[in-house]
Amino acid sequence: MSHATGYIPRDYKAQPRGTVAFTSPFDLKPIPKSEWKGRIDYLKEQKARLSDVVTANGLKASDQNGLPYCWAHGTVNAMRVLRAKEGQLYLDLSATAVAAQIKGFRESGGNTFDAIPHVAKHGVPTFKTWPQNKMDRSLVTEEMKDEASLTTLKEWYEMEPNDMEMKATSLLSGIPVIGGYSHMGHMMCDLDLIYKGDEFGVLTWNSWGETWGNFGNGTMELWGRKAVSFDQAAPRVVRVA
Amino acid sequence: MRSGTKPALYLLAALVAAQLAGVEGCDISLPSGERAIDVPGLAVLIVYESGQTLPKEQQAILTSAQWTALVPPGNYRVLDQNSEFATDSPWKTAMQRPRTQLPHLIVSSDKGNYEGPLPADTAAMVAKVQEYQ
Repeated sequence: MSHATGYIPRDYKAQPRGTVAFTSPFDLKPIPKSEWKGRIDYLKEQKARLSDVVTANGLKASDQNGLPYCWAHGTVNAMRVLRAKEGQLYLDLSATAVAAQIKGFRESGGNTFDAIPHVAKHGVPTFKTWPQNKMDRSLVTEEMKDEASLTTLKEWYEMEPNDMEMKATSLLSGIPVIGGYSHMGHMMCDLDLIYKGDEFGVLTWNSWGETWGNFGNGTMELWGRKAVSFDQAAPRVVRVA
Repeated sequence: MRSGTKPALYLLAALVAAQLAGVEGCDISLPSGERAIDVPGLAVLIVYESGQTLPKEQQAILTSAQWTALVPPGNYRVLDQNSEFATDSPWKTAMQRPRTQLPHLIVSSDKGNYEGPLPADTAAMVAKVQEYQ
């Protein structure tokens, strides 16, 4: 198992806010911080956290296996979580396919804002037509493209950098967040807002395989300032296959 | 009766039925044996607006395994009102049924159909699904 990362923070001078196709400003009414603990406790009691959705649907953590494609894994993992929440058919979606096509098969880092326009327009194929971690140009076939087109993801939220209130509102509303963590150079799929005492954090779903993580399920907790992500986006609507 | 009056009456009746469903929720009378969600067995569809912040009790319904565990695998959907369908499906047809509020719930089984507002919390949602089990 390799602990590759691959997150390159977005350059907002080169790519200003509002210029990424298929994204729109985060417009959910903010959930005040005074309500966070109560909502966290309630979702836990009701087994209605996104981590509960992952567990109930038997979703396994993906493994980028040495490739610098965390940004594609984070994006596709958010899509997998949303699909599970929606009750859609389980699909093994290939994050490698997304990253390899965007980067022209180069092993290059990136950002969810690179992945979103591709996923929104072309979708994500399954392991059937593009096995995870395969870097092979012969995989670009009409069959693969047709299959991927069934999973296009239409609407994404572009969230303000470093805005914890937006992330908390999204997670408490059952919408996973793709977070870019500068201190790790890593992008992951955040599942739950968590707290201990007066400190808040996030439970995030990594892409280092299913046996990695504090709980043996590929997740890790980030607390305080380390839970604040510079780049953040969230999927809103999944095309129903 | 003038030509065109009958269809107008049918439309009015449908609107009244939809309004009733919207205000209180009810067991909709469809033609005998017709399902609001045309899939075998118990089926559940929740339609919501993902840009709307819900009370925590209703929010929890959208992601709770407490009621989905009662539904056969593959027989529920929780969908944003703007979801697109790649192909025709019973879920697409059910999404096109009239509704007057969001979030909206449809429960369908051999026992009948419920169409109306999403219950207030998970316990009420479980009870509603159990009615049609």
